[in-house]
Amino acid sequence: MYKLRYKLSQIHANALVSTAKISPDGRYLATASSDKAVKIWNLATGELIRTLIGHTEGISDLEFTPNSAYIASCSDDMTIRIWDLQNGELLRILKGHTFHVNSIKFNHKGSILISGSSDENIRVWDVKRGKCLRVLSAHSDAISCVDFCFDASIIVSGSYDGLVRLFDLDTGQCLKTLIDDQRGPNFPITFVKFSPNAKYVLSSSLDGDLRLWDYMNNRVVKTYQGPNCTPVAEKYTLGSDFVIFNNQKCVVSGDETGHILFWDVQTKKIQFVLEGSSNSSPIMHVSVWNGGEVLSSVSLDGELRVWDYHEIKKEA
Amino acid sequence: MNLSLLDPFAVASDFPETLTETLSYGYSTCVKFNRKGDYLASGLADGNIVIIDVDTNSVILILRGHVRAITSLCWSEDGRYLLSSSRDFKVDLWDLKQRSAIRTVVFDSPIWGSTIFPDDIFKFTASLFENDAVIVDMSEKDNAKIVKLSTKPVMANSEVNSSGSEEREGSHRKRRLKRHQTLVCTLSKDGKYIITGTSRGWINVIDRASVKTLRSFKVCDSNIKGIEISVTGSRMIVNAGDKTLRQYLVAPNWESIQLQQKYQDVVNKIQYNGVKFSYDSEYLCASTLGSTHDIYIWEAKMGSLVKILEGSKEELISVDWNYRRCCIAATGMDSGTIYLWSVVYPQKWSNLAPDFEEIEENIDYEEKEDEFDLIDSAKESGKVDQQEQYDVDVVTKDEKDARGFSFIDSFVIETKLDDFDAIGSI
Repeated sequence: MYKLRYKLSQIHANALVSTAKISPDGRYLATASSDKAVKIWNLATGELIRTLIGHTEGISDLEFTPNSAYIASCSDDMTIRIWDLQNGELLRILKGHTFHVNSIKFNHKGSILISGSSDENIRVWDVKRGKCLRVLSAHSDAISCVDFCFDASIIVSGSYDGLVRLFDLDTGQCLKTLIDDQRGPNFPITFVKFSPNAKYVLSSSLDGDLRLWDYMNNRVVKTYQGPNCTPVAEKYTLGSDFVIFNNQKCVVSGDETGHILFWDVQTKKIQFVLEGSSNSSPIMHVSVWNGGEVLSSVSLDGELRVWDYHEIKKEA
Repeated sequence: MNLSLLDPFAVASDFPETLTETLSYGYSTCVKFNRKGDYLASGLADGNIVIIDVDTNSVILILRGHVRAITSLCWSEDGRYLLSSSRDFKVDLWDLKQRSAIRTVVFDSPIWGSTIFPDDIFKFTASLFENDAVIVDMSEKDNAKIVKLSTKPVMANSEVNSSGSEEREGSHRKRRLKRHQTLVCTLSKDGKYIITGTSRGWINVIDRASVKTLRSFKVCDSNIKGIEISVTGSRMIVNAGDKTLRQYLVAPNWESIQLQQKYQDVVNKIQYNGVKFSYDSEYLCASTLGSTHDIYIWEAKMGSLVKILEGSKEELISVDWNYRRCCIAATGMDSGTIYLWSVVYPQKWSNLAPDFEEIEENIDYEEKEDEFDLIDSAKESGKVDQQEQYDVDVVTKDEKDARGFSFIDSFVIETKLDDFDAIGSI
């Protein structure tokens, strides 16, 4: 299904890598690391373009603006920084969180940034003015991940308190809380993402399962598990995504042993597995470009792989 | 997407009720929402145009070009272009992608108002100070083709007599003072007809293709201040100088125009400024000039006053209705502040804890037979698998939101972080 275009190892020398994301225009790839630096790579060739230095602690998450002109990074130093991709200039420092910032996301217009932090708050920022518009305090433990739906009217957040909550962007009100009451105690939620049509929410939790929620009806409609019902992740926040390409409808996520797993959305069966790390290091993030034409995966120990979609021809 | 999760009664409300925001980015004389309702263009008294992102209520772009007060603004359907007219004799067409004016047409007098044709962004109609209204084609740069529209009404025989006698009664001097001019012009929703209002209370319906006045009728003896046509195209409001709003029922192709309703405040003798229909034209709102500082909202079928939007401390001029977000904006006359009225959604506290349910009154709870039974976990997992036999479609989007508006793509103005000019100057 996917052909390896290239791989780079030790992209942040002797440091742990938290995420790697492809820019919306498909030209760049950015990686964030515990060495306090963001690196911008040419996606096509794997060449290092620029290193952004300024954060004083390790970086947890990155996000490109929708026009691919700027990149935001959030760090354990409690700040979010927005950089110009063209010249590497630091344009904004968003201060307000009182503990590690774990996850950030832009709206589709690039005018609003939301951030989830270990201080249990979500903040909504006006990017242009660099000001905090709103603080959403509803979780009772660190927020691990935030996401917007396609029209950016709803925010979804996952927290270590085991809850997935939906918020209204305009009013800041909590619209819904998702609890899986059939499966006992709630494990910390490490990752949340809206489906492309924003009717479902995909969540990962530390019990090792990925769940697809029909949030309107408060129920889990699909549970995705590792091979032979093994847990996918019990320790790390591993980023997952949807692959919607060429009749393929998959959920993709890395696991903690260096594999990239592709589940069929409907049947929940693992369709295929890619090798993402030569040292069986956890795959921290799988970034999907253009629905799945290009993928990038990055492992905790700094191995970056870029994959191209490759049609498997059916033999007559 | 959020509407389906909000309080359904609040989402279904037809008009906003609460003043939620005031924006002071310069002295605003004119406000207009784009079709999607995510940007608000505000024309200032100094000629600048400020584009406000409705999500953040902050300035996303400033357009500089005019040197006198902005008199009207008009968005293109897709939200990428903006037509502005000003007292400085100029009409500008702005491309919000290039962030600059791509066409400028200079007239011999100030412009009252201009409207883009729905089928061609380079064509517009405008009403001019002490001049005939015009249709302008500016598809060629620096070579705008201007066609004048006649102010003279076409009259049926009976009307000629009555108006003729009126003419005779007045002295020559009076007649000269009261020259006949077109004050307002607007377009029918299909863009085929131009509706103009004159200083002597006439409404002319002009065919765009032939530039001929098809029919005219007299509203009153005083000047026409404004014409507003509903989104459905079937209703029209004429705001006249005699402190009355008249609502007309319009037949397709403007073959007949029938008076339906009159709105006036006989007690306070209020002048109305801006008038705007709701999306389904069931309601209309008007800003008022006079002793009150409110927006009046009427139900258009019966003509009854349903709501007065209070909260502004000054008289209100320009008004616009954001249909998709159910929000009304108006500008104040003294300070130029923009006032925004919106729907306020009550927080449902049970959303924070889904195992709690909000109930109207106490109910006696009866324990279910198997409520606290311990279930074998293996059996449980089988049950889970069975329960997950849903068909999921993660791709197909809903076509319409909970208010019935279809999701549309509208032009997104790029957020630029390096032009500090935009933040510093206001």
